[in-house]
Amino acid sequence: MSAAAIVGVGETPFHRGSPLLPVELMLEASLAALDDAGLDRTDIDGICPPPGYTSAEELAVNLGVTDLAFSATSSLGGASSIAAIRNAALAVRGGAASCVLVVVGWNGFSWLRPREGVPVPRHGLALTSAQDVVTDVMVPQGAIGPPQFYAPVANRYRHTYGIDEHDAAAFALTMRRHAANNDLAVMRDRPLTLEDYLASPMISDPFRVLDCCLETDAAAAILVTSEERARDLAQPVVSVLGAGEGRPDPPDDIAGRDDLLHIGLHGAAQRAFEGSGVGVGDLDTVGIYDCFTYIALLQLEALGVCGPGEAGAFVRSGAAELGGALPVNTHGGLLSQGHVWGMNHVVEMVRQLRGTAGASQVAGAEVGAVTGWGDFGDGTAIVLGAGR
Amino acid sequence: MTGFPESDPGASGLHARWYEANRLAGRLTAQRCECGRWRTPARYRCPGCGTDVWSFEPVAPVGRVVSWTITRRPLHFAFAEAVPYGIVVVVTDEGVRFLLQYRGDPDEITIDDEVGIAVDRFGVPYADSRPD
Repeated sequence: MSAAAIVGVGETPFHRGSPLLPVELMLEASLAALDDAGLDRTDIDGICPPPGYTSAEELAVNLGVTDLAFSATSSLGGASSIAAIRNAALAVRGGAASCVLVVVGWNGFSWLRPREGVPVPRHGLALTSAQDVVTDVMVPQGAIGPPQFYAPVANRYRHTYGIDEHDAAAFALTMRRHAANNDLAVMRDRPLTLEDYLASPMISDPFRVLDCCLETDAAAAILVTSEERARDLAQPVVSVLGAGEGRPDPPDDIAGRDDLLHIGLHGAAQRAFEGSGVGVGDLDTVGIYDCFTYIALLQLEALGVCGPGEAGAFVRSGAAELGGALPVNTHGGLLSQGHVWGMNHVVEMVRQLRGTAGASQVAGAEVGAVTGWGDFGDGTAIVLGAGR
Repeated sequence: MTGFPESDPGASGLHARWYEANRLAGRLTAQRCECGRWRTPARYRCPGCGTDVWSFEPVAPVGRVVSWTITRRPLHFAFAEAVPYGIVVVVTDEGVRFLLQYRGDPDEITIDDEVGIAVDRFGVPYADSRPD
């Protein structure tokens, strides 16, 4: 996939309660990405919307795109953002489109907190590709939401490798320190101590409140075009070196797996690096889909950054900090910047590889990878490189 | 364990047939293909041999705990009275795996321990401490 590049990034503020509909936030982020790229709305001929809240058609008409040539939506929950970028890159490489908008956004804060005067989107999040299993098999057992779905994975991980709450805390604290450098981060001015972490209430063991990502109203967008065209645009070129998706077996039921710790990212990471010309040892910084601390640790291992069971020690050593061996989520992640389906991780990675990440900049960053996690452990990975 | 809401799961299709099979048998069943492969949740076709010839058969009413969680904050009002409650992932002797509510003392759940498995009047299975 060497022929595609990310040429524009945009995001809204990370709101804890926005009066705007998700589609309005997505349009705002899309326009910011166009502005960043130096492209016009009418340059867009492909749109990859998220699974829910809007459609390629609704986005097209509001952006003035009158001849849409390509659209695609993948349904991998939070892993959808990177799957969508991969779809866009494949479309550009294959000639189906020349400039593809990939956008996600939602009312992750407001849908749980309905308020008078705040409109509710008619179409919500297309919840999960495993919806029948959730509704018919899991909800009757009292397993209703992600903390409960993923907790048995986290407890098996703890049991297998002796990972403990200090490992999880180290990840949460690292994210919070990174957020302090980021003006957009919801938790920029909210420092966190180990004592705070250990005092935070348990939601669904082993997840405490502070193991769980933030609920945010926000949107983020990127633009994908060819490397060739990228060289003539406003920003330094960031190339898509590789991307992959993967699913555990079975994909629609966690309990039914022989190995709870085999996740979609294992296959996705392998596919992303294949043919990319780089390996995990070449990474200067990574973005990890940190929906929950323990799940982020597991992904560091599945990506190949650490061996099995070693991610806790890796993070506790300070390696994941800005200035460490391999800084992770320099923007603060889903845990401390905000939650926009991991597209914020891609936006941050693009800024890192452009060298425009400000106080969060990893010196000399040239190669980075970002992971996605969604539904019942679906995984995606993308490998990005500073332009040549 | 008193607060767990016992109700018709309102399932559809194969899942509804599974609860009905449990209810009629008065014990936990699982779908088994003619090739001998167990599968859960219920599927239209066997991921192994590809056929659609199967039946619901009883499985051992005992499982070993693979993993667990204890829900301490209800994520839905229907479970407000039930917290804290345990959820376990278990594997039976046949190698069949289930996610089950745990109706015993959740703080006693331990990985690799054995738990008993029963079904309620709606055919919804649950785990409990194993009777001595």
